[in-house]
Amino acid sequence: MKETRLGEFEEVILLLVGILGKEAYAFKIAEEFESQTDRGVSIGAVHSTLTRLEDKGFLKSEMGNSTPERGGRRKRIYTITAYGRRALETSRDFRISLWKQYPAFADKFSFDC
Amino acid sequence: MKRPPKYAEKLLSSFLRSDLAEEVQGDLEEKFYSTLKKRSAFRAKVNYWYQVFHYMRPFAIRKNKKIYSNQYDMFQNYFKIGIRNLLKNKFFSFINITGMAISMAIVVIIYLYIQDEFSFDKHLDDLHLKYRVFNEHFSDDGNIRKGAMVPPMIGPAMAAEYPQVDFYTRFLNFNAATLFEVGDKRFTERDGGSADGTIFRMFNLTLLEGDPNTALSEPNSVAINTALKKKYFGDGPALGKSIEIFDQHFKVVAVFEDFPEHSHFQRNYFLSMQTIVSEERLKSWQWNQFHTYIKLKPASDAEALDASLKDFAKRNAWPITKPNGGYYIPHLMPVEKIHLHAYDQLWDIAVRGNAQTIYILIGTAIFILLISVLNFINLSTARAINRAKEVGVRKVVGALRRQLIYQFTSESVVIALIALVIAGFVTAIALPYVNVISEKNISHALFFNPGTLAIVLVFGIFLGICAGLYPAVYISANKPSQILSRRDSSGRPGKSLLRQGMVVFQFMLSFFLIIASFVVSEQHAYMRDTDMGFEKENIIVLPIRGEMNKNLETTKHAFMSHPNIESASFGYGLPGEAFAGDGIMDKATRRRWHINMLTVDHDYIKTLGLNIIAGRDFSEDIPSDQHHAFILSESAAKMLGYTDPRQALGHEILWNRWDAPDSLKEGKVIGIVKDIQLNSMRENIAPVALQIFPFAYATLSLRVKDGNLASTLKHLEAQWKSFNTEWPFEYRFLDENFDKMYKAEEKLSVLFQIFTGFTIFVACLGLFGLVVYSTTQRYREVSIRKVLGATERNLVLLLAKNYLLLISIAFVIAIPLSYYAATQWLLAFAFRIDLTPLLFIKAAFLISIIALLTVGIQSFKATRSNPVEALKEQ
Repeated sequence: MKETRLGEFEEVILLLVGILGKEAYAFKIAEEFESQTDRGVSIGAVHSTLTRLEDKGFLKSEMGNSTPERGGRRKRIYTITAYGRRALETSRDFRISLWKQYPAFADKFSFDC
Repeated sequence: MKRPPKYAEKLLSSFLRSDLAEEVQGDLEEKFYSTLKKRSAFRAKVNYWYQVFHYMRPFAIRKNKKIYSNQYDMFQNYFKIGIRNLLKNKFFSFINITGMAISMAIVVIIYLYIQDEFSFDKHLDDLHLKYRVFNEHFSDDGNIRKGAMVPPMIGPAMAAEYPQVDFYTRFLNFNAATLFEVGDKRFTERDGGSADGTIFRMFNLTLLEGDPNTALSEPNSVAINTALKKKYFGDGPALGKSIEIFDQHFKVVAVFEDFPEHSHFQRNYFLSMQTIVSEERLKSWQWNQFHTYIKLKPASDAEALDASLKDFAKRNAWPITKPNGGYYIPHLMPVEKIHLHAYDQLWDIAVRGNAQTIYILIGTAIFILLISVLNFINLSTARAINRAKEVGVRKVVGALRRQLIYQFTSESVVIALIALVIAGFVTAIALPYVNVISEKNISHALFFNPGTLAIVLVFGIFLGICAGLYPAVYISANKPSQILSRRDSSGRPGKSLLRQGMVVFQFMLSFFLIIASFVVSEQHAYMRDTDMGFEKENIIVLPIRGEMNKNLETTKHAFMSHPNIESASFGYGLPGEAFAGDGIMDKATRRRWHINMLTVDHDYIKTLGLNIIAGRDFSEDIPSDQHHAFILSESAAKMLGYTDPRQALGHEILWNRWDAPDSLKEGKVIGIVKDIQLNSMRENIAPVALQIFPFAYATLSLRVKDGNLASTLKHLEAQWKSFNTEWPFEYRFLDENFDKMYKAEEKLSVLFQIFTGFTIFVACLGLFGLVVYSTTQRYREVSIRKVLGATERNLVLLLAKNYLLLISIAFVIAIPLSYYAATQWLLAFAFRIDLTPLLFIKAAFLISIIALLTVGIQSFKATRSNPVEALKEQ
């Protein structure tokens, strides 16, 4: 049975695929990841995760158009499947339910530390 | 336009899955150009490399199809079965691994030893252009000798005559110790001499101080090595400072780095040539005292030059040397060969090895390897039956014969590698001991360097394949239908002729080695102990220095005034030390003869223990003995033409005085002594003459009684000091020189005995394994015989007689071979042992005892067991 829970990195990548829509291919996702998180990441790492997510059925992909700066090569565009969207929602709901149980959260909405 | 780095692209395509290629290459290129816009081209390229490396992830790497084939699993299985088999048959695994480990360790040690021997002089630049000149001397009495030293004119004359000679270097060695004085520091120094200034270039010496181009060109200059510099001048500079040598001031013009350990030439200091040897004497064509090296220009033909040297000597030297009874032909010896190949040159100062020893050691290494490989083959084929079922099943399941051969060979490679690891440890532990015996300095670093380890590893794998291939072919030949239909798998091992042949061969090798080691050690003992015409034990030699020369009688009395000293004699010329190669003239025929001249006093014959066979000793009561008497050795008398040496008494002889070369000393032969050997027993005994000639006295020899040496030496030192010389006290024992002469044979003999011991051990280990196996196979037979009344003696004989037969065959074959080899080796010695049958019988006896013990113990054990144990199962 395949692992269906999402890791942190996987979740972010999945969300980025959703955000980028028609521009969601490995290079763009890596760029977007770096600019959104200020964390460096290699394209290979992103690609590896994308492949894994596709194996789990959260993503599907097809070859898209080509551009001159890629030397005329096509890119692989990823899109979220319904199953992937549900996994994201489950993950989000789970966190919200956790946050709701967090005692300080209801009162102050801030952290003193 | 900048492009992504080419090699990174190549690397990427070398591992990337082809279905990912398009998108990944596209992404990376896009990344590259986007980085290029923001940052430098260099950063973009580095980033591209970074991205490529980060694609080395399982998902992106092309899968190697072979990994999924079943070969991988099969090898895993072979390995597993191999290990199980090793563990199951612990005894036989132990025998195989021990035998191999011992022989490998010996081979590795021999390899290191030989590598060390071959590394001599390899540090020199233009090594192939550097040669040492040596002379082949032909004397009138038919003697041919090679000498490492040549006359001083040879070097300059060759350089002048032959354009291909680039430059030459002469070195005159000082045999005696020399006193060095710097301020209040005063020591005697050895291992030096005078040299031409080119010596620094010839031996690539690095000068820490001074100029290599001008050093030693001025008179009264000296070059010292760093050790001497430290000793006399401490850490400060030495250049320009003065050392007093031979009562003259010498200016330090150079400090050179000590000669490297692997240099055949090892000296500590050099004095300028013209200060020591006069211009006149340097023009000599017959003063064979100079170690002479030449360097040729690139692309010169050394062989042609060597061939032309005969004519060169004929024109220049022969007119001068021939009237003195002899001539010489110079030859060239490549410097890189001196260490190993100059062993037959006399009067050499080189650090000497011996090519012959190397060949002997290589032979030993091959023998022991053969024996351990044969052990393995023997045991594996004998026990092939144990693996027969496995072979049968594998074949039925579909294994090809080739695969089975792979399997069994890889098993033996595994065994070889295990043995190799053990051998590595053994070598590391043994190396310090080997260094002590061989007087070498082989470091562990030499062994643990990657090059050596790689060679050793390849060698181990190769050995494993050698040992495993034949058994693999043999075992895999079993037919499955025959094996599997047979219910009883424990048949007798086939009486293979080949296997018996191998046992014979192994014992032949052992026998050969044991005879060889007997011969070497007996020859060494013979040379050490044989009668050399004088008694070399218990003689202390003192050099005469300074004040001691003043009144010889008083000096002698002073040193003799101790109860332990029996007699004392002045002289120049001692066996095993310096003596003069000189000439005498027959008064009647005016013919000149080469002779070794010992200048002695009245007590020499008594002190050295020479045997007078005719005539009398020099006598104080007969005054004419002092000026007109000679004593000859037997062979000198024969040289003068007397078949019976006694008749030479009264023969009249003329001799050129050393103190006044133009005047002659005239005298009669008053006595004949038994021949004395002045050199090592490797050489023929040369004719010797003795006479009284105080001018030349250089040493005082003292015969001392056994025991109480400490008090004797104390007395000598006190007396020495009473003469108030500047020289520190020094003495030596006469027999030390001879021990040194036979060092090479001693080392060889010890190494050889050790290696032979191990070889025989390995051979017996194999024999033991075979016997153990065959007796277990015949366990039931033995038990039934025993029940039926066979005695233990019958049974032991039954089990052992086959092996005894094999060993006897081995003896018979080995005798002529070892006889031939031993004769060849002994040819190099003028005085050699006889190869008596006793020697062979001794060797045969030793091996029989060892082999019989091996076979006997196991057979006896088998016959002693209770037959019920073996028979109750059926």
